[in-house]
Amino acid sequence: MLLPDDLAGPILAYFGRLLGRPLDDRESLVALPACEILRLADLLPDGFLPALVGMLKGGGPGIFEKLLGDHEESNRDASERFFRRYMEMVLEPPEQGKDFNPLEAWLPPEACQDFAFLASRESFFLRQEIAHINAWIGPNFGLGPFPPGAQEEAWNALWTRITST
Amino acid sequence: MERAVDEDHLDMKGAAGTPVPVKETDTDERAQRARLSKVVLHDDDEHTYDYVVEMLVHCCSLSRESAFRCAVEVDVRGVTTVFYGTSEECGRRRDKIHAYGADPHLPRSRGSMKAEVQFR
Repeated sequence: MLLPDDLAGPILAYFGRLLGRPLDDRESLVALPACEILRLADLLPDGFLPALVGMLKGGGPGIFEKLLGDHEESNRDASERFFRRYMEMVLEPPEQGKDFNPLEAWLPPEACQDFAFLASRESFFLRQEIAHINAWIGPNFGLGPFPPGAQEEAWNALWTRITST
Repeated sequence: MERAVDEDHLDMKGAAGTPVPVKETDTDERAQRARLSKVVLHDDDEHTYDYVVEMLVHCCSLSRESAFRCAVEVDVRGVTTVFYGTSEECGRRRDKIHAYGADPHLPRSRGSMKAEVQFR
């Protein structure tokens, strides 16, 4: 995420206030030493971490190393805190339980009428458990059930059904 | 910082993590080059953090935490190294990345991420 320029000003002002020093532009943020960038991350609420990363994006080859604390032991804890919080912030929580079916979540049956869209989901489809495929393909397309290991057969049946109607 | 946790790295690190120098001979330059390759992943706007992490865990055998650091690096820098190994093994990992397909979380995503094998 690269933040638009009209958002950059207020965000930099907020970051500067937290740090107790003015940040005039992205360059002044990027130029901060690793310990200051990580101190800023510590001061920010979790919801602002994507904005911090967005502001740092494109900041040159050394910017990622700053998030790693420039590999200095004194920055290690702050760096690990940043990555842990940012990871929890931006990743979806792992879906638990047998009831979660990725096909139901991310492959809407109505979108399958778009051949290009459907073709682009072949790898995703083939990675799914056959139980999830059967639970999705039966009610939505009247196909199956398919035996264990028959992901490709199920895909071919789905593709034939969609392209022949 | 540990990046990749993979048994393929053991040919460059001892079992206890001690670096083992690659043997170098005049006649074996090609073999040496084959051993010293890496897979570089390129950024785009068609893939989410969730996809990158899941894909790297699957294709490059990274831990979730290592995969997430690679995802941040590719987002911030535009590129990240996701695997080290022989050119043959790197080629296989690159092909897996290219075969992983579109990001299901993102309706506009229509393909895999781009990766390439580079000599180190």
